[in-house]
Amino acid sequence: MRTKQSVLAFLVMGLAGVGSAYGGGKGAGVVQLHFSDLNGQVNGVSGALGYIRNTDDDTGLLTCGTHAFSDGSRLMTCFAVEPVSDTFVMCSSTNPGLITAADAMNGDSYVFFEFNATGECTHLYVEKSSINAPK
Amino acid sequence: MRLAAELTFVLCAIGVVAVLLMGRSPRPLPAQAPAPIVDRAALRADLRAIVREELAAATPAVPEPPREERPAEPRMAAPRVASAAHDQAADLVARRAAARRWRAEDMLALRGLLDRMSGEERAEILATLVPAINQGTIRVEPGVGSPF
Repeated sequence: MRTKQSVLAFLVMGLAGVGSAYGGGKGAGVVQLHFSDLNGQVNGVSGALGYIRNTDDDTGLLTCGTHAFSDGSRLMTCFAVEPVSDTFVMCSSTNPGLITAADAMNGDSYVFFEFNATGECTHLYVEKSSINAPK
Repeated sequence: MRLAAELTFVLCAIGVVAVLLMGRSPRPLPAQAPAPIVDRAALRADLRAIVREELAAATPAVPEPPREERPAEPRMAAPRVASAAHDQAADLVARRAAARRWRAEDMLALRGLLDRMSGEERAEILATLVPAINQGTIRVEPGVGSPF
């Protein structure tokens, strides 16, 4: 089921690129689940914030944020809802590099994050690109 | 004849001297000095001072190690006491796991508690909540956004 949804999401993204000349383009940025090669479990999510916001379907969601606490420590979180499979995914981390990456996001960023079985973020990719739809 | 008379004279003289020496009364012992008045308190103080000096001289001087080099005294590990915020957050997560729902008010409540916990406590709470969301045990209601 998840594999089919992932393939569908891939086709949607591919169709969105049909007809556009390379050298720029406007990519779709639906919330897309990523699966582990090891156990087939969801271990990552990607999506473009502007695209998700602009879709008519408002059930998709991708958000990352950072906490700064009074003891000087920090915490970052990412959360996503993939609307087709109605899957919720979340992770958090106190890793300074991941916190910096989360801070670097803006409302039109394309985001990809991965996490482990304990819910700890292990990777955060933040892209600010012309290919991503603005809000 | 004359020599005999001289010898007799010498012998007599020796005898007289001997008699005089033997008959002389023994020389009297010097008179004892009166016993001095003893200041016992002063004597004790002197004795104490002497003992201290002797002990100090007999004990090899060992320099006191700098404070940072002193071996750490064994310290008993203090029992970990969870903060009230941690207990409230744990209770919140347990109740919402039972209800299988995470609402906007739960998000706000947990955000308010996170700052009043230690980092270790936060990690413990999130290690329960986040996997529960990923496994679908707790579903985040629409419109909540990030659960905390």
